Amino acid sequence: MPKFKIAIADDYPIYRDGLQVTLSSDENLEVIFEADNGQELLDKMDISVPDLVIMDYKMPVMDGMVATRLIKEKHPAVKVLVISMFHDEKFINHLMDNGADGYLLKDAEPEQIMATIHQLLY
Amino acid sequence: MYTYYRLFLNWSEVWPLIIALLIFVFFKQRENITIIFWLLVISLLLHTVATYISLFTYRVPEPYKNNNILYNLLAIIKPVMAGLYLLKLKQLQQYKYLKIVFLLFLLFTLFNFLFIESIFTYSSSMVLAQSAFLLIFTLTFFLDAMIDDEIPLPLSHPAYFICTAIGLSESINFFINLFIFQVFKTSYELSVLTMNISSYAFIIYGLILATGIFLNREKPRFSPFSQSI
Amino acid sequence: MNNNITLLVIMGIVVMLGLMLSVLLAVMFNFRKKNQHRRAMEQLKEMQQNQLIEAAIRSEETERHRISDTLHDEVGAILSSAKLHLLGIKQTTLDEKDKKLHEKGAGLLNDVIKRVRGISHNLHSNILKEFGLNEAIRHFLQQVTGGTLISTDTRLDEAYKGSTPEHDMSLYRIIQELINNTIKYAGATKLEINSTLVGQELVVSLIHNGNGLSQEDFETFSFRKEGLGLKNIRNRILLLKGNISFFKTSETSTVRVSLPI
Repeated sequence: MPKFKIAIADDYPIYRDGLQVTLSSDENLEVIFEADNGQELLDKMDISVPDLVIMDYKMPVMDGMVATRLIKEKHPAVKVLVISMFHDEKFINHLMDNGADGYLLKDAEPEQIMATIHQLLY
Repeated sequence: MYTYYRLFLNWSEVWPLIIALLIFVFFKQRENITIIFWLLVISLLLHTVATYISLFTYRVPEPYKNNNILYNLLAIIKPVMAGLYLLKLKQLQQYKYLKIVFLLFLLFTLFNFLFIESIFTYSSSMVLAQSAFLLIFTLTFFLDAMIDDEIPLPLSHPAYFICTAIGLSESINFFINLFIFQVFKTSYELSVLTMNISSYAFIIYGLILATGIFLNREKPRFSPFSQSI
Repeated sequence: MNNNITLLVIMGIVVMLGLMLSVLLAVMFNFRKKNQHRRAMEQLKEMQQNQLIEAAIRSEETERHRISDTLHDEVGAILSSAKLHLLGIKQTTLDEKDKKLHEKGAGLLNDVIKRVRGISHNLHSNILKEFGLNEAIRHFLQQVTGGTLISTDTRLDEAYKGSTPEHDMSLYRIIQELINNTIKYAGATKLEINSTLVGQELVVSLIHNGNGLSQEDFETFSFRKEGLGLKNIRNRILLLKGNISFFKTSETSTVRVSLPI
């Protein structure tokens, strides 16, 4: 099966590390780049476009909400998965309205993360 | 009607003191003004006798027809006791000159009656000295009440009323006493006028004192019901 | 001669009397001025005290916000990452003993993540800013009683559209503290929060079936150092010029806070 290209954006490198570990359990997923904030993510996306972006909501320079909207404008085919700490329904709905394709809590089980990614990609 | 008015004026040195003393007797006092109490008692005594002598001269045996000594005694006792009361107040203790004035007054009195005048004659210099003494003391009290920034005595404190009473009566009487003999010599009407003014001054004095004592009350000395009930 | 003396005496009396009276008037005016001054000073002192209390409260909020953010973001990220790493170890490669340790490790991590989130939310909630007081109260109540045996109910007046951020924050803190106290000390199993907008006042009531405080208890405790955060409540209510009262019957205890908005 073809490899899917993943991009990770989070302002905590240690969490990006953890995600990499989880993603490494599926050989079909390849992390092409990491970004520290929304702006860096968009800049790097201009160079190479991923299939799925896993993004934190709370980031400096440009946060997840704005980045989601911009990605959907520039690269509508890219799937956006927001992973964050907030678990309020109204907030999640707001995110979805902005174009996010999925939402996960940061302390979700690895199985949940993988299941959601598969759902979005396949 | 006129007789009552005459009675009112003739005994004007007695009945205001009685009112003041009655209030003292019926009400326990908040601030300690015992010296003033004794001043009032002695004043009442001396004034009653002096007024009696002057009004009923014909009834009084010969040696006692002259009441001037009583007034001289009053002129010594009143400033001394009032001065003692005022000096006990905390705020006046910082004014050292008051003690000097007190001393000078005593020295003057001694000197005057031992060497210069007889104690049995009316001494206008004595009255003058007394007035000056009292005015200095009361004006110092008022001055301090104005310039002292720290906690002044509340306006209901009896010292205000005592100083007002003394201050007002002395300032009225000062000039009268200064020219009293000239006045007597000059005209009968003027004499009567000045005597009336003097009487009113004393009534004011007594009533203001009474007000001060009344405002200083804490509770009645005698409760309406006996305690054994 | 006659007239001169008369004039002199009368003038003298009038002048002396006038002087004395002006002294007395001066004393009275001076007295009034001093009283006014004293009152102004007292007002100033009270205002200053209020400002101090305000400053203290504000610095406390800033600090809480800072700690909350750090906990939420930094500590949260590390803990989540630790969990992902731990769960990246395939259980199939472990023997029985290691499997149990692995499971326990994962469980502990889950536990600590939840606790950290709780602490962070207790310290500072973005929900208040984003979604308003009513939502923040509901959220907090659920946060703090979820997983416990306490049943909760809220009936919050939707007519309350919110006040200034500081106002809402203070009110939120008061309710937070009261809820915390109730759970910690009163041993309640039923907790209800009502709010009603009455004219220009918001009245919030906390009703529970535990062992609550009476009005006297509140008065005495709020002056002690270990005052159960009651001093904090008292200060905030004082600043907002509100009112707090405690009622206690054999079945229920009620705390009622009314604040002008």
